[in-house]
Amino acid sequence: MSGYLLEGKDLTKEFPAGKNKTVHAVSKVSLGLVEGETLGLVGESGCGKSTLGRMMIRALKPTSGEVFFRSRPLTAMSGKEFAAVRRSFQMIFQDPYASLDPRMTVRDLIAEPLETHHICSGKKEITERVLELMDAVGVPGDFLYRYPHQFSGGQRQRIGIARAVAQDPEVIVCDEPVSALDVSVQNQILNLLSDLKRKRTLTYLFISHDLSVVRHISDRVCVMFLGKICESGPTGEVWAAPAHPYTSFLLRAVPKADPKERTDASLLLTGEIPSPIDPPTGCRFHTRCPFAVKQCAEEEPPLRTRGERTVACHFPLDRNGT
Amino acid sequence: MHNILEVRHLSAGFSARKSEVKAVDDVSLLVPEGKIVGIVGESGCGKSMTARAVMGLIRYPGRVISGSVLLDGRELVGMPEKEKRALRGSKMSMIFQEPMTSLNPVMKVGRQVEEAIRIHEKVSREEAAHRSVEILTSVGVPEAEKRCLCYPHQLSGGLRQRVMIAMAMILDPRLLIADEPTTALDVTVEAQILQLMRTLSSGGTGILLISHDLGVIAQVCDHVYVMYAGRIVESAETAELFDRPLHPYTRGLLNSVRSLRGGGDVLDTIPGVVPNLMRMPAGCGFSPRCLECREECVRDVPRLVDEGDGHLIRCFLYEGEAAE
Ligand SMILES: Nc1ncnc2c1ncn2[C@@H]1O[C@H](COP(=O)(O)OP(=O)(O)OP(=O)(O)O)[C@@H](O)[C@H]1O
Ligand SMILES: Nc1ncnc2c1ncn2[C@@H]1O[C@H](COP(=O)(O)OP(=O)(O)OP(=O)(O)O)[C@@H](O)[C@H]1O
Ligand SMILES: [Mg+2]
Ligand SMILES: [Mg+2]
Repeated sequence: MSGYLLEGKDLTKEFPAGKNKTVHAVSKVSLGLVEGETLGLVGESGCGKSTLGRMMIRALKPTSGEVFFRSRPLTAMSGKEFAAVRRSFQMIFQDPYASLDPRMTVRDLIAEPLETHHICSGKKEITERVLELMDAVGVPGDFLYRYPHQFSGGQRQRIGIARAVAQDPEVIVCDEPVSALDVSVQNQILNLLSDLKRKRTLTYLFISHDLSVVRHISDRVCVMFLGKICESGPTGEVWAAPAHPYTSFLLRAVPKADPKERTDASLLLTGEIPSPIDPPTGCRFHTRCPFAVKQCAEEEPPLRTRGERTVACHFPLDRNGT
Repeated sequence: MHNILEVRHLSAGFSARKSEVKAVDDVSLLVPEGKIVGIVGESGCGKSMTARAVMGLIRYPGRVISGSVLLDGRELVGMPEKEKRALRGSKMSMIFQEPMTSLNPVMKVGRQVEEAIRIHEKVSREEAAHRSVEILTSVGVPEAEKRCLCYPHQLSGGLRQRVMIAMAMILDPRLLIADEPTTALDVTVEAQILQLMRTLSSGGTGILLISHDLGVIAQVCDHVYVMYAGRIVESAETAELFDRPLHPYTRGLLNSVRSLRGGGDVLDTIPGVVPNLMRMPAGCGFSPRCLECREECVRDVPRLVDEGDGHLIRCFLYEGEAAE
């Protein structure tokens, strides 16, 4: 028994990219979610976060590897078996504009998952349940018959969240749920997600490239670089003392909202993000890593565990950052 | 210090069914030589509209209603389109949030950079090609020679943005307007682009940087204008603004900044949402969301007053004080 609610083992996803080329979107990644926790997943654009998140809830079939839900093999289930557990998983997307059907009213949008999963029936009962959900996510009930375009970005995201929790899921993959919103609205949505988690037993896989968002919301964090996990551990510890050079550069690059603490340009990463079509040999970060030596280009560093933390680096940083 | 850009009492908006809505209302601002000046504010507050008004790039049905825009002392409002276009190719340029929209999708990147060089000065094809590789390398495009042969869609967002910056640098403009130049980028790439902006400004270019990210503003700007619902509500030197924010909106914005160190279970927010342009409150635009709202705030628009040392504030909480 792994003790994980949802666990991915050696997940790999490759996409064909024409002319016998392959995009190595996710390469042999293992990931576990403990019931009731929020696991953050961070990394640069294109590193495979969404692909990994979708494989975890069987919204995308892995090229190889397996996912287990309560120790049962999710990936190997037949369509019929999966249908029975499907309502345990939900996803919230980045773009509150694109993810809602513009021709449906708020009532019908939130009622849809209730009807699909036979959670309640009868027009009156459904409407009552929809109103409860609207209340839970902070959208006034008198907006019941409005259309998505009549709402602001933050309100639309609330409607998306109401849809996601309607079917009482156990795991929600939140894929950049606040990236398209203004800071103060981001905070409103983050507070709402925390609040819902306290009231219902929910487990979140929280994907974001915003390190302060991840710091706030997640108990543990996984840092990804080009299809692989390079570091993981309790968020506070990792942020305070990153062990992988990439994590450390990522944290240093965050623009601090304090003019007295301006980023020292000499501490920035240079070079371009390598391509997932032709990932570097050895450690995938070595082409950008200022500490890289010959071994890094030749040998892939294994993911090593130290207590609650893991790191994939031949020369991990110590607490003083060297 | 010499001001490259002087915007005075600029209003711009849209005509809609018999009425006119103002998206930019009586905005005045300065961009001095060699300085980076920021405009910060929530989505829809009129940042891009202000930028477009300065560049003379407002699209129909929008228009400049009144006010003046001076570039090195020359009036741009009312200037014939042909003259304005010539200025846009030389003295002022703009970088947009999504660089894809401003690069030609069917022309190789190298050619586009070469053309920009050749518009600017008379040099041979070979010389221009050579220079374009040089300049792309200088803005951090790796293997620039190879990248010159790519079409825009074959480059990543960060690379495209750097190509746009390279083109802006070739023009060596007096004024560069950057409208959310890093919003679509990763933090590591964003930091590189911000560094390029600093380099450009140290060469004398005045930069107007638009962003809703207080981190970005704090990192590079010398002076900041805070905009809310079409109006400038506060303006100060960057250090002063972050040290001593006065407007309830600015304070709310600064409180919403999350720390990398974590802390606190519930994040601070500004309750409510930005008002719709069609249903603007009669008084202060922020009054429906303001915890310190008083009777006069709902009725009248406060004036922009100097609270000392050029720290401007548009709020009744301070207007009384200044008068006393
Ligand atoms: N259907 C697909 N076909 C081909 N390539 C794909 C497909 N989906 C994703 N990819 C590629 O796989 C890689 C990982 O993509 P993914 O969307 O998982 O990244 P991400 O980390 O979520 O990025 P972002 O932060 O931009 O959302 C990228 O290089 C992407 O271009
Ligand atoms: N064609 C139009 N007709 C009417 N109103 C418009 C039109 N285009 C834009 N607006 C409005 O003008 C206002 C200012 O828009 P602007 O694009 O300047 O905002 P912004 O501050 O740049 O926001 P963002 O951060 O989202 O880019 C917004 O309220 C917008 O809804
Ligand atoms: Mg993604
Ligand atoms: Mg804009």
